[in-house]
Amino acid sequence: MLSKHKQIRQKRRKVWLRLLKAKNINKNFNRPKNYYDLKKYITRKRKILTRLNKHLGRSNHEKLEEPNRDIIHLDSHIDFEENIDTIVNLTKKVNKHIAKYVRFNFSVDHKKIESISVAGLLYLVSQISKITEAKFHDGAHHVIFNPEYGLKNDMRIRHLFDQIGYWRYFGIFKPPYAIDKSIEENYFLSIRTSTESEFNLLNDIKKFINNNVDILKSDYKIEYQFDDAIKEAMGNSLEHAYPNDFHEAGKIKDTWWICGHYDKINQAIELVFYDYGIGIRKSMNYNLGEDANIALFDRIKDASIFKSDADLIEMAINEGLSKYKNYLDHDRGKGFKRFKNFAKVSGFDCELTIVSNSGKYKMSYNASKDTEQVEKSKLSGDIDGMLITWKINLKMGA
Amino acid sequence: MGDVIYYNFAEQFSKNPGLRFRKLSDFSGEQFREEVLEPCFQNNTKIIINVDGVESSLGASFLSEAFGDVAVKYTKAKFDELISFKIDTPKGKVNYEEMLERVDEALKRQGKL
Repeated sequence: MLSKHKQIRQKRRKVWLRLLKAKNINKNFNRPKNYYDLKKYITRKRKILTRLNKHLGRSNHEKLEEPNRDIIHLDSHIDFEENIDTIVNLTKKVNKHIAKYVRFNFSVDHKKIESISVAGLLYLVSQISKITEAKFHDGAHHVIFNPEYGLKNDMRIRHLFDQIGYWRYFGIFKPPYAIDKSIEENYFLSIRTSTESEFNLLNDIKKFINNNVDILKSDYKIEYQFDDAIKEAMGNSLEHAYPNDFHEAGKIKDTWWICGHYDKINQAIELVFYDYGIGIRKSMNYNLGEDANIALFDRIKDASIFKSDADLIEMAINEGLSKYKNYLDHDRGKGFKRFKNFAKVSGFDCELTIVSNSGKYKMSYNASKDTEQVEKSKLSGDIDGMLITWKINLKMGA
Repeated sequence: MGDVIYYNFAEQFSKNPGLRFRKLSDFSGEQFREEVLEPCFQNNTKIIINVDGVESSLGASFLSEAFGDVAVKYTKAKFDELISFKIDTPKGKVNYEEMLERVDEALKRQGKL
């Protein structure tokens, strides 16, 4: 629905085009009374558009797919594993929209999605939230469901989006698709978000786990490490992810998200924690003060490269921060260690994945052999903030 | 030494202890140290803490801020004399052991262990 102002503009433009056409056809064209007013109006609008395009770095010929609407097409496979580049692409698309088209309407095209991980979905939620916040600045999303850009007819994907609370998160309370209730091999902890520490939420997560598996009930040590890991993740976000001067378009300071998934067939439980703060590198910069140069730019042994973001994550996990004398408080910066403790104490095979900026760190723990394997990789670009995933494989327990 | 305080953590402080600092959460380690532990040391009162009723555990940051700092300030001997936990349940035992680890870390850091 066009605004009244826009309707008037369109009408004027139509009249002007009609006059131009008449003028070109008829040499004896008699200019009507409003001709010069309209000409002045159109010239002014054209100048404004040229200035806006220049400001946005957009060519005069660059057009949106639909007038006044930017469509963000999602990739077919979205996850933090083999398809992590799609996460980087999504970040780029969203940032471009916020930088260039935030004044326009937007649609998110879900049609191509064939697979999406729980972590990928949480990241997608955060990115869409960024756009809505950049547009409306009120914490509300103001989105509606448009079937044209909805999910393909794949019950598995539709079930995931429904159960994890994707639509509800954006205020779409009437489920857009009928969901087959017989799909019971997957259970989800719906997306939760907050800007402060929420311990009731921690208890909800434990209820979700306890309703499905006995891992926390079997040994209080495991429950302790679980509480500690989640509390440290919350604390890490609140204390380090958003410094006092944090201000980025579309981001609400101190926001974090959590969600979970229990795969009954594969007996695997997965928890994902995410914040879109400043990420590992800047966070360490803030905390290390004058030692930042030593910590962040030390050359790695036998390599002539500087420390990557994945190296920094590994360093934080292995308590490498407290060795720097100027670290703000030597006992802090150990939160990452707690993430690993929970992964290892469970007695099951598990994976801890942390992605921040352009680095990915993945620790796979083999419970029966008591060995851990670490993979570090560099992404093709930056993601926002920091994502932590714990995946515990209950089938392979020791 | 004065009286002994039997402190029911869940009822007298919180069922869900918070993070390290007051600025990060309610019922933080900083708050517990200032409101509960410091007075014990100042009045030379022994405290036995019962954590059985807590819903979420006393996290590492909480323990470090609350107990680590007083151990450094008042010496380990004094700390051992005044602070103890009810440890006849897994919850009490695990939280107590974790607390001792955080205290040792704090003392090591200060070169006092």
